[in-house]
Amino acid sequence: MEDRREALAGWLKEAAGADALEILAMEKLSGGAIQENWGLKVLVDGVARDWLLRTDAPSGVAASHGRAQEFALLKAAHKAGVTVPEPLFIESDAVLLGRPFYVMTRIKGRAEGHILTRDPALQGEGGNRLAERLGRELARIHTIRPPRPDLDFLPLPAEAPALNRIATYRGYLDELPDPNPALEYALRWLELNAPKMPEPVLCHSDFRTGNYMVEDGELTGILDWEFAAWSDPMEDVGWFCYRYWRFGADEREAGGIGDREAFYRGYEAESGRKVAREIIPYWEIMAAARWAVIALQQGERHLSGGEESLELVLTGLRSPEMELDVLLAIAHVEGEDEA
Amino acid sequence: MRQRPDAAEFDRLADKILGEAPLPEDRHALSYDQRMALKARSIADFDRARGNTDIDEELALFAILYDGEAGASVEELNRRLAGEIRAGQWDDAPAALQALLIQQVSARLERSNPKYLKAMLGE
Repeated sequence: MEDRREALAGWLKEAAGADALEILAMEKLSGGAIQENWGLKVLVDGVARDWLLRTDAPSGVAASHGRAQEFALLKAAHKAGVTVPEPLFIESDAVLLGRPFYVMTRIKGRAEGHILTRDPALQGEGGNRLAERLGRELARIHTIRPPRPDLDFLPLPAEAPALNRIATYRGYLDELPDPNPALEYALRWLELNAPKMPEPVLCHSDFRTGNYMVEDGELTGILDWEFAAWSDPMEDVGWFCYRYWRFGADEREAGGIGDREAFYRGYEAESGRKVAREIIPYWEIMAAARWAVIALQQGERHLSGGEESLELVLTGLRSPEMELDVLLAIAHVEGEDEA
Repeated sequence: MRQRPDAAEFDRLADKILGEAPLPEDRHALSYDQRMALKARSIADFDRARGNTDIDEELALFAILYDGEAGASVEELNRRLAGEIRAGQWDDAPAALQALLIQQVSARLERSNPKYLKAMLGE
C-alpha cells in the first residue's frame, strides 16, 4: 500500500474535487480478518482531515459483503440519520491498489467490548443513556426498507427470516465433521417456534457491543456492516441483548452497558413501535445458536489443517457455552409456556 | 463424543508458544499468547486425568435414550441422534434426551470453561 501512496493521493484529489491533496501519514490499523483498514491523515486544500481507507483482506469470509456493497450500506445508513462514519469515495476497480476500496471519515473512540463494559463513564446513568441512544440508532437502521435499488444486492427473504437463518446454520453444521445434537435441538426448536414473516427491514445483523465506537461516554459511530440483511427487526434486538455480548457484565442486559428497558425505550421512542418483548427470548436463542455455529467454524479452520492457530481452537471451544445457553433458555421458555 | 484437539495436539500448540523460555512470575505480566498456551496445557492435563469417563457416561445415557440398543460407537450414535432431531423425531423432547444433551455439553464445558458450567448449573 505504501508504494501506491502517490497514486492514491492523486486519486483522492480527483475524488474529492480538491485543488491540492497530500497524504501526510498512513498507517495500517490492527484487527479485521475480513478487511484491512488504513488510517490516512490528509491535507485537502490546506485543511487537515482524518480518513479511513477500507479494503479487502487477502483472505475474507464468503458470508460477508464486499467493499462496494458495504459502501452502499453505509451511504444508506448515513442518509437515514444513523451515526456512522461518513462514506466519502469508492473505487470499485482493482487497478489502483490491487483491490477495490472505499474511503470514509475516521471516527474517534474505543470499540472493545471488555473495555466499554468496564468504562466508569458508562456505569449507571451513563450506560443507560448510551443504551437508549443505541436503541434509537437501531430504530433508524430499521427505517430502511425494501424496495431499495441502491441495496438490490441484498436478497429479499422468500420465507420467514428465522427459517432462512435456520437453513443457513444447518448448512454450516453440515460442513463440520462432527454432528452436534445440542445445536440440532436448538435449530429444530427455533424452526417449530419461528415467528411469522414480518415486514422485512434492514438489519445490521451484527449490532452489538464491540461494533460501535464510544468516546467520553458518547456514541461516535456504528461499525461493521458486512453482514447486513433484510430481516426481522427483532433479530437485531435479540443479538444486541444476548448474554455473550455483555462481556461479563451480565446484569446490564443491554450489551453489558445498560438496562434492557433503556435500550427498548430508545427504540420505541424513535420508531413509534413497541418492542415485541415476548419474542426477544426467541431471538436471543437464535443469537446463541448462531454464535455457537460460528465458533465451531472458527475452530474447524485449525482442526481441518487449513490454518494453524491456537486462538481459533480456543474460539471453537467457546461453543458449548452458547449450547448450554440455548438448552437452558429453551427449557425456561417451555417452562413458562406450560405454567 | 471424542473431543478435538486431543491432549497431544494441545501440548504441541502450547510448546510452540512457550518454548523453553521461563514464564514471568507475575500472572499479570503474561502475554495474550502465553495465557492461551497455559489454557491449552490445562486442557491437555484435564484430558489425561479424565480418560474416557465422559464417553462411558455418554454411552450410558444413549442406552437409556435408545432403550438399551447397543453396539454402535458414540460417534455413530451422535450422528444418528442429530439426524433424528432435525427430522423431527424427538419433538416431544423427553427427559432422557434433555439429560443426554446437558451431559454432552457439560462434559465439553468441564474441559474448556468449568467456571461457566459452575455458574450456570452449580456443578
